[in-house]
Amino acid sequence: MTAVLALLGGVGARERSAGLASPGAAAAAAALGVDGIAAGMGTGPAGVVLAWGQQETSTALEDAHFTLGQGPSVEALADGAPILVADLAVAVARWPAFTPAAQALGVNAVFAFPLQVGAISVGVLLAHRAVVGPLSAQQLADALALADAVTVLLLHHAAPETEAASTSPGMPRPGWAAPTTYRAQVHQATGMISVQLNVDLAEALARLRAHAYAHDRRVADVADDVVARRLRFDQLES
Amino acid sequence: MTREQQLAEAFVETADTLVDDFDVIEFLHTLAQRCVALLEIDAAGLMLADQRGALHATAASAENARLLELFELQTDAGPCLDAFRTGEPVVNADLHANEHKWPRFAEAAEAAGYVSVHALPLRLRSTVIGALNLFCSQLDSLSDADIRTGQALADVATIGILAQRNLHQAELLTTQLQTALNSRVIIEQAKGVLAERHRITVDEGFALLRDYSRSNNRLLSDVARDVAVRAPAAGELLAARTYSATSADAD
Repeated sequence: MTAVLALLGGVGARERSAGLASPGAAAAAAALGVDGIAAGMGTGPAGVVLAWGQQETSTALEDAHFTLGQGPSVEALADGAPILVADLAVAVARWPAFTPAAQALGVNAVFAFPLQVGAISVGVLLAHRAVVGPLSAQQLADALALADAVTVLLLHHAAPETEAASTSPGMPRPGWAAPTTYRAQVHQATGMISVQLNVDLAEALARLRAHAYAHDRRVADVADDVVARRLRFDQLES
Repeated sequence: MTREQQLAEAFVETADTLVDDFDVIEFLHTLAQRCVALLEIDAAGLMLADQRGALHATAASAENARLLELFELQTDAGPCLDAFRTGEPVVNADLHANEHKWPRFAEAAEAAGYVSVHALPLRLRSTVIGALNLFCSQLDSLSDADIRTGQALADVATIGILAQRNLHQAELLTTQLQTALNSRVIIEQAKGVLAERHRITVDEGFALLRDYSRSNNRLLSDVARDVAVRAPAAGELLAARTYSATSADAD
């Protein structure tokens, strides 16, 4: 999975919109022992835009979610928790319309992971497999790590002025500021910045990360400065 | 050892489920033995459900084939299956009176010398993950207090199991953990919002969240989410106000 995460780091906006993120997604699917994996952005009524991984079945599954208004991705977003279904046959009552639609696509196992950082929700990651069975503990851990990395990717995708922080050549991989380094201060700083700039949390976090990158500092260190009130984002030179 | 001491020991043992090379089967085995001693019954055992909802014997007070066979026989019909499906305890069930209900099981249990059985559900909120089976050689041997004790031990078993669930059920624990971890992040984000909004420390921000959720009878995590996204529902908490005894500057 580390190789996959490195692949993610090299993908820029242009590559993503051209669907060239597929190699990374295919490798991720292989690492997780699933047939396909894709991340959908956006959580509102406008539907979910597929932003990473353009595999055909993944697209069809996203369409099913949108058309039918139900399914593992919908539930993962609503619950803010992973939805892991090793055997879709037991989910007929749960998703009476989605389940047969997915089975008709040859899908018999689905695993959905909300892409979130606290109250920031950028979308959902959906993996699918024709063969019934759960993810192993290692695959599950890898999937969560992948979800974290894709969350960061989509975070910057949603805040174009901070895009540079995620796509410049030689730029640290998305794992650079991975949630394992997200100490409490980073989340507190996110909240503070959102008030200082009067923006939503997603943009606040993207700005925090972009600032850290631009000044060659660790995100956690910048966050410390914000929480200690040594640094205010509404007093920065643009 | 008094009943209280035995109970205390059973609960303390649950803490062991949180360390690394803990053995869940051994824990359940000990728990089953404690049931027998505490409730003064003849045998006890735990059945757990797999992903397909089929019950499997996981541990018993005596690991002998005859007792274990009594669990095997409950796959199609038996008190454990009833407790598992309904989530309700099966109490003081007379084997003789239930022969029509659990034909193969009742016959074998009676042949083994048992007269009554009980099955207490292993519950995680609305999900039942298995059942605790109790066997007695007398009728009506469990009082209400005994049943409560038995259910408490069943709950202890559930905690122990979920703390050390094996590979295939790691999903449940993972999901629970992910939710808990994310809830924590929301609280941190909310602390930041309040700290900046009111020019207070993040710790004071937490106190605000906690006090507000208590006095308004709302879940802390719900209040935190509203504050973090600055939803209208958090209006009162986000409204401009001054605080005494803080280092806030007058803005």
